[in-house]
Amino acid sequence: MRAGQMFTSDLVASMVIFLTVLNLGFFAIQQSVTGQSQFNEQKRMSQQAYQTGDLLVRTPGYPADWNRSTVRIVGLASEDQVLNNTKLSELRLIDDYTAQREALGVLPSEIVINVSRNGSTVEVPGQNGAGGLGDGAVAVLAGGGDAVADHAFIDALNSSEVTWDLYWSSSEEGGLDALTARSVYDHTTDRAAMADDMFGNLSDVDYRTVLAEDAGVTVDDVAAEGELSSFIEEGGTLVHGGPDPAFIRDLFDLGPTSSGETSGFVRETGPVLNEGLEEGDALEFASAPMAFDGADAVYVNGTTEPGCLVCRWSIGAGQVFYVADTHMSGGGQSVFTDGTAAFSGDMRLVFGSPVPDDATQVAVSSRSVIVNSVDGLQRARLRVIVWR
Amino acid sequence: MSTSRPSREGQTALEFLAMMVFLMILFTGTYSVLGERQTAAVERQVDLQAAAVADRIGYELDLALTQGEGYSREFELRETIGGSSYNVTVQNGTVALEWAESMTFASTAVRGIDGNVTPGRNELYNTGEEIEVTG
Repeated sequence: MRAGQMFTSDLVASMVIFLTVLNLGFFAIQQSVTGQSQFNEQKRMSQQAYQTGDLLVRTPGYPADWNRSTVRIVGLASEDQVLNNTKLSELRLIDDYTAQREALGVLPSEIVINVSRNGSTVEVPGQNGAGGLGDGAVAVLAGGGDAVADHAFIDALNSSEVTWDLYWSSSEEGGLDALTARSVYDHTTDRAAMADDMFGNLSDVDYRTVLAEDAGVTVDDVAAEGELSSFIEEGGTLVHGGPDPAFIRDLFDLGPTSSGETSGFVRETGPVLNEGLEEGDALEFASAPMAFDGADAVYVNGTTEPGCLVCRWSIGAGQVFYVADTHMSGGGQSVFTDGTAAFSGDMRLVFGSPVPDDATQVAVSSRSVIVNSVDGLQRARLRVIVWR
Repeated sequence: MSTSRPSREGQTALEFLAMMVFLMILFTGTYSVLGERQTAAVERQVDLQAAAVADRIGYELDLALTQGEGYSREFELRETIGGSSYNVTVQNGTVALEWAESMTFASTAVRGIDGNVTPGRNELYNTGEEIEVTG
């Protein structure tokens, strides 16, 4: 029996062409609808960024004398149109990043707010414990073979009113009971357990600052290195003192580095330096494992070799400090601050979580503001960036 | 006597039927998938419109609250959401916007208002004790 004449080669070819064109048409319609949806999403985030910026810069917030506990609407304006430094400090002191987002009314989006001038983040005098090395509770990681009394960080905090916890792994056990620490996590000689405990607590405990002195922590020890990076980027402070600075070099990609020299001079005073040191003073460190280039702020430079021995990097909304050694050669005065003035120094005006490279939606709102900065009254730019 | 013509007609009809069935299956499947995606996308757009309106209301109320007694402002809201009318309630720090059979929320520091926020033009006035709204 001969076949019918429906499925000819002409028909098959025309069906293939027709279906291809039809599918392309459907695909184009689908893309258009998806694009419209993304446009509306972007528009909503732009509206959110604009409204947040407006409330921050044009209003004093609610109640007008709000603080970190009473805030219902965050506003930073004062009567003379200058951003209120007390309220900037209180914004920094709001419990954590999620609470900040809730107070700013941007949940579930992420946010970063910065105030800058000529490309540099503006700094203002911190108040009520904001600024300097941070505020809130401090976590101290201490190891090596030194006794409690030989750790400059512990010495400074023990006579302060700052809330602090100690994570201990030194081989010397004595003196732990006499400390003013809120909690002591004793992991004598077990450096890895100390690091695990501390970094595991980062997201659960109210720490703002981590001080690591002779902790001997390496990148391999840090089981929760993602937690530490997030902690810094969202406004935390890390101060690394003493040996094994390769930890911060590798974790935060700092450098380049060179061998440190023990002789240095004070280029600029800063929150980690002893209050008795002044610009130009010569220092002789007990040791200097490494010197860094490319830091954002240099407090102590090597005398003959380039590279900083006490320096700071800004990472996201937070900061990382390096102190080659907290002790001077021959003992005597500590390199590190001996008081808690360090915990309420200047405050960088950046809040929130920086925008990652893989953010899918970003909306920016920018305002001209007047700020009473560490350099006096200045006009600056406040940017609100809402992202997902 | 030849019998080929009736056989060819029968075969042609069968092939035509097979092709029609195939095309119907293909188009039904394609339209159903595309239709579902388009519906979801349009629903998402409407949800975003509603959320933007709720955010706007929250913002206007917060602005009125922070500016204190005597502050007054007129603002305009869209008349419909997704072609449907909508209504707004403000209670205990939440702006609730209801349309068709859906709802969205925004936050505000204002606990309650005197009056109702409505589609179209609204005027806010801060009396010092509360926020009055006339629409």
